[in-house]
Amino acid sequence: MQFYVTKSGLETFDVCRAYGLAQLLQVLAGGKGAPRIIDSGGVFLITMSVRPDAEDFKTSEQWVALFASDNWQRVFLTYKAAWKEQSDKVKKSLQRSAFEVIEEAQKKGLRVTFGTGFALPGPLDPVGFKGLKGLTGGSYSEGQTEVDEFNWALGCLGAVVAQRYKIQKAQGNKWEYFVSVPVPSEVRFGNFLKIRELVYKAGLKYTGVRNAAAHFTLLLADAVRELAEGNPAFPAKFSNLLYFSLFQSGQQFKPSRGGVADLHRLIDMSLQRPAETGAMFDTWKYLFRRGSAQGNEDLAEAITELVMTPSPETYYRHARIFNRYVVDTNKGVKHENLYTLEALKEVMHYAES
Amino acid sequence: MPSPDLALSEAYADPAVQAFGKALRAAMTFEKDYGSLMDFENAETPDAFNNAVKKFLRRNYGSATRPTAGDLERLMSMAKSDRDVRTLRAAIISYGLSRWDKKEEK
Repeated sequence: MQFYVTKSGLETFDVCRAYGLAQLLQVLAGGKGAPRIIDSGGVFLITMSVRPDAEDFKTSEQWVALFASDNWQRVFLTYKAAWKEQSDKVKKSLQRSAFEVIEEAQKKGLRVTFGTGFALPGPLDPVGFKGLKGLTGGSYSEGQTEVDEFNWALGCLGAVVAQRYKIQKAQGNKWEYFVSVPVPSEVRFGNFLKIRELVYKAGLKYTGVRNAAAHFTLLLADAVRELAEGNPAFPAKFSNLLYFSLFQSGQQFKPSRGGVADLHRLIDMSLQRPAETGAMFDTWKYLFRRGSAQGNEDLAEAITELVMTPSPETYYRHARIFNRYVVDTNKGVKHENLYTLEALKEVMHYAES
Repeated sequence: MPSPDLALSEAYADPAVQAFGKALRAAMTFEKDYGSLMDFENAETPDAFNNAVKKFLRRNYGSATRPTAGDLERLMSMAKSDRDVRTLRAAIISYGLSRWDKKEEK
């Protein structure tokens, strides 16, 4: 069976809708099916071998566990204490119309109707939302992005399932959130859940959202390598990583920097040459770890640039700074944290490709 | 016709670059010769690179890991343009990032 999620143009929202539908299908199949998400250009195609027809899904353990996730509070962070009402709204909405949603996804494909009453929470629409929704001194106001109930609920569910939130203290005793979500190009949902289990909780003290995204890119590629166990056709391929940060301004959260990181290249390397790539990742993980300590920010920035924008220039910068740590007798780098010969060749190929 | 750009991985695998990379690594570790590292890092043109190599060889005249005259000749023939120099210096300092047996090289 095939289901379609037609893309609306709001990238984060679209990706979350695809994850949301895959999650819903898995629950409706009683956890037996293995939905596969495929990016086919204008739509996300979700294939499924089992008929999703579990009428009693509302009481299933999987469904109940989904709504106990900590991520609900994060997805609805702009709602503050009212986040629970919103998650209940999603739950009720999907319980009421789950079969209608999948029927439409199967027949016509799920299309978003904008301006129809359900406001997208900030983490689903980082480009469009801002902290201030009312009138300002200049009488400027802009409405929230509103969509239809089906897609709103699916998007919120997908965000809870697939978005990774890294929260850390910012300047001025405030908090900032680094949010990221991997874009599937061909992923079996079960594999995605395993990857999530492996890497979503891992994290460091980051120098910024770009550093957080680069580290997450590395962790994702390494998890795919680990799970693939040498199978180059392992169905867990992601194309990009969408990332952005939310910062506290007064009492409100507002979006700050964001971007797209290429995941495809690292995952390809992980699947094609797992041993060499694994050795390279070991040193990179060390560089991120070491770079997260106060005073070593240069190391963090250098490895971030190499991972995010590989080029001979970024490679050189990373080599120069890393070398400083190696030769410095006070700092020093343990032998096992240096590159192996194969790993170093792999880094060079990555920088040149 | 201009010659094609030197690739980083190609430069790294070259025996002459390897000889200089290992010699620089040994000089930094055993002789604390950080000046040569700075000279290589700051070399942007073939002339500056030439100077960096000369200074390095002078400083490490008695070293057991000193590159041969053939290595020197080959390295200089590779440093034709500014871009080649940037690739060569990256390849040379990269030897400091890989694992190596200090006892054996000493």
